[in-house]
Amino acid sequence: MGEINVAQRTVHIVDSDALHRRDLAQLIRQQGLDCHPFAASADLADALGYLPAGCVLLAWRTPQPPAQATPIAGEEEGPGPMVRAVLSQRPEMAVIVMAVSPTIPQVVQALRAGAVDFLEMPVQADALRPVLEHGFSILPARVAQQQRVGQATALTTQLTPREQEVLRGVVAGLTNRAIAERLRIGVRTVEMHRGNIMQKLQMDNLAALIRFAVFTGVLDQGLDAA
Amino acid sequence: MRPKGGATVQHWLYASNCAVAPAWAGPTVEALVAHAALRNAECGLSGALLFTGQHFIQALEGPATALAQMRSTICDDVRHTHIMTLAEGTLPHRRFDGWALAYAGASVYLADQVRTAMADGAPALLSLLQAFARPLPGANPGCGQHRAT
Ligand SMILES: Cc1cc2nc3c(=O)[nH]c(=O)nc-3n(C[C@H](O)[C@H](O)[C@H](O)COP(=O)(O)O)c2cc1C
Repeated sequence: MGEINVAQRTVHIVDSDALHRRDLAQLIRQQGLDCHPFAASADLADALGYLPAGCVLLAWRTPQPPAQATPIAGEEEGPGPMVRAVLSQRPEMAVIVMAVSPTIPQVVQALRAGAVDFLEMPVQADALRPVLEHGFSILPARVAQQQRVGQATALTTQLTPREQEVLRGVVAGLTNRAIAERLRIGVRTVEMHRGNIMQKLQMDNLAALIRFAVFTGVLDQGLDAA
Repeated sequence: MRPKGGATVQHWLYASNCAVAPAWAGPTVEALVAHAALRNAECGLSGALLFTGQHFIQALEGPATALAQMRSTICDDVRHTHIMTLAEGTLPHRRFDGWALAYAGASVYLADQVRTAMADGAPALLSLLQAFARPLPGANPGCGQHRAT
C-alpha cells in the first residue's frame, strides 16, 4: 500500500477536466497526502501566495483548435509558460506537468522550464507514487534555498544605489582604484562604501561577499550599466 | 567553439551507469560539466550530456583525433561504469551547435524514457538529446516565432 510516510504533505492540482481532477485528488488522498484541486491556472495563481509549499501537478491540455484556425500556429505551444508562471511566484514548489500522450519536445520544454518531473494522463497510481516521492524528496532543499535567497535579497535592498555599484565592481574583480575611476569618485570613498557594504550584508571577508553577490544575482545586472 | 567541421566529423554516442553515490552526483556532474565546457570548446568537440541520476547519455562529435582522445579519457573515468557505445562513425555535418548539458536531474519520467530509448536504439536517444540541446523557443528571435522575450 506504499504510503508516503510523512504527514502534512500537500499536493496542489490544476486540471480543467473535472473527472480526471476528481480521480487524481482521490488517488492523492489515498496516499495519505493533502490535496488542493483547482480547475484553472488563474485560480491557483490567486491562491499561490498563501499555499503551503508542496508538489504542484499541472495538467497541460491542448486547447481544441477552432474550426478555421491556422494549423501551424499552435505547433510550438507547450507547457513551458505554465510552469514558469508558477515558479515565478513560488520558486520552491516542485512542479510536475501532466499531459495526454506527451511528445518528447513537450516533456523537454516542461523540464527545461523548471518542472521536476512529468506524468502521463490519465495518471495511474503506480506512476504517481514514485514521481511524488521524487518531488517531496527534493522539496526541503528547495524551500531552504528559497529562504536563503529571500534573506539575502532583503539584505541587498538595504544597500544604496551607489553601494550596489561598488559591490558590482568588487565582484567583477576591479581594484578600488578602477572602481573609483569608473564611478568618478575618490578611492577613499570607495573604501568607505566597501566597509559599509560588508557591515550591512554582515560579511567579514571578501570571499563571503563575492559568494553572496553571485548567489543573489547582483552580477546579473552587469557592470556597464554603472 | 566554432563548429567548423570540414568534410569529416566523427561522432560517438554512448550510455553508462553513474558510479558516484547519489549524494555526490549533483556536485560531481556540475564540476564535470564546467570542466567539459572549457575542454570541449578547446578541442572543437560539440555534443550534449544527459544525466538521469543513474545513467549518463552523451553524444560527442568533432575532429577524429580530438574525439578519439576524449573518448579514451572518458572511458578511463572512474565516475561511471558499463560504458556502452550506441552509435559511432562519420557524419556529413554536426548535429549539435556547441556543447551542452542537456539535463541533469532525477525525473522519474525521464529516466523511464531513457530506459525505453536505450532499448529502441540510438535514433531515439539522439532526438532526446537534441530536443534538450535546442535553444528555448523565444530565446532566439528569427526562428519563425514572433513571441517577444
Ligand atoms: C559521463 C562523463 C562525461 C564526460 N564528458 C566529458 C566531456 O565531454 N569533456 C571533457 O573534457 N571531459 C569529460 N568528462 C571528464 C573526463 O573523463 C576527464 O575527467 C577530464 O576530461 C579530465 O580532464 P583533465 O585531463 O584536463 O584533467 C566526462 C566524464 C564523465 C564521467
